[in-house]
Amino acid sequence: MNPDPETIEDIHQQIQVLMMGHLDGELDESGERRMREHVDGCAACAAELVKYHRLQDLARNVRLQEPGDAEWERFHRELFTSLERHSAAWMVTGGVFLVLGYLLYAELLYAGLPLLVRIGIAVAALGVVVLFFSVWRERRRTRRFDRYREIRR
Amino acid sequence: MEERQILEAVQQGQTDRFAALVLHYEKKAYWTALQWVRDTHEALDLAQEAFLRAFRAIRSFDVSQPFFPWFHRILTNLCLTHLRKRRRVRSLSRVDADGEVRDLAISDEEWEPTRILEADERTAAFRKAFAQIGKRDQQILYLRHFQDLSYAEIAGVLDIPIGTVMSRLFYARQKLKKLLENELS
Repeated sequence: MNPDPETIEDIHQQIQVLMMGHLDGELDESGERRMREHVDGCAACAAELVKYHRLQDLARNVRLQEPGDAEWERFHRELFTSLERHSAAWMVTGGVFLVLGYLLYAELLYAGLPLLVRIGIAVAALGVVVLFFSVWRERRRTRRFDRYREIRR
Repeated sequence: MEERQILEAVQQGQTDRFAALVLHYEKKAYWTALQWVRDTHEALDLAQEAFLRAFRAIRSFDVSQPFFPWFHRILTNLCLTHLRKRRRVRSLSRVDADGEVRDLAISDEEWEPTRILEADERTAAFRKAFAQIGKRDQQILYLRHFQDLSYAEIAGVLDIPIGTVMSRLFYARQKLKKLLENELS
């Protein structure tokens, strides 16, 4: 008895889905065997496989637009500088906060100033540091997308 | 050195190793951004910013996973935010002109992979056929053929199972094959 025609279509389609994995080198051993066995006995699917290989070759010839050398140079220069500065900035920040913390601790404990003044100094000092880093970070972020950064005012 | 080893080294503080990842993925990053924005300069700036953000967040990255899908999400989100900002600026100027407020949502229409294909006579038919198929099909073909991603990476980028990657590639290539029947016979 002949199998249902729809089932045959389904098998062809399943094999052609497996062909994708074969073309891309992603098919496992059992999938590869199943596909091979079917293709060896099916002229229609064998012809399809040839077409998919040709399609693959066509796609391989397509080139993608690339920026010029000067653009890449700018990209590398800016990115690697930013990466370095990012690490350095964390070290500086950590160091500044450690020193500041120690100074504040010493000032608060040992200075002969009234308590209110000492608290005022501590808060102001912290505020200056936070403001400094906030402005610095904001400038770094906004500069990247500033369309007019190369225009001299 | 394997990607996983590089990522582990970066996470352990050998930050100079991150350069290897940049050099490996910079073109893919540029092409990904260029599909969203039309300008080379902007695409490179966005790619650069995405690398910086990935670097800052690298400690939270699960090294058992491939790097590119994670990085791709960071970059795509950046591109979308950038387009929204740009559109907001444009729509504000239009509000002044005609009194109407435009929709600021970014649709798939903004995503244009044909932008990254170089004009070349030998591949004109392929480019024409590629432009004719749907965005969904273009996307999977673009990730496989032009970004050269593995099925696992594509599955990560699109958040779909690996089996679906294979079937979506089949439907996309089938359409392309029909459009290119003469060239392939």
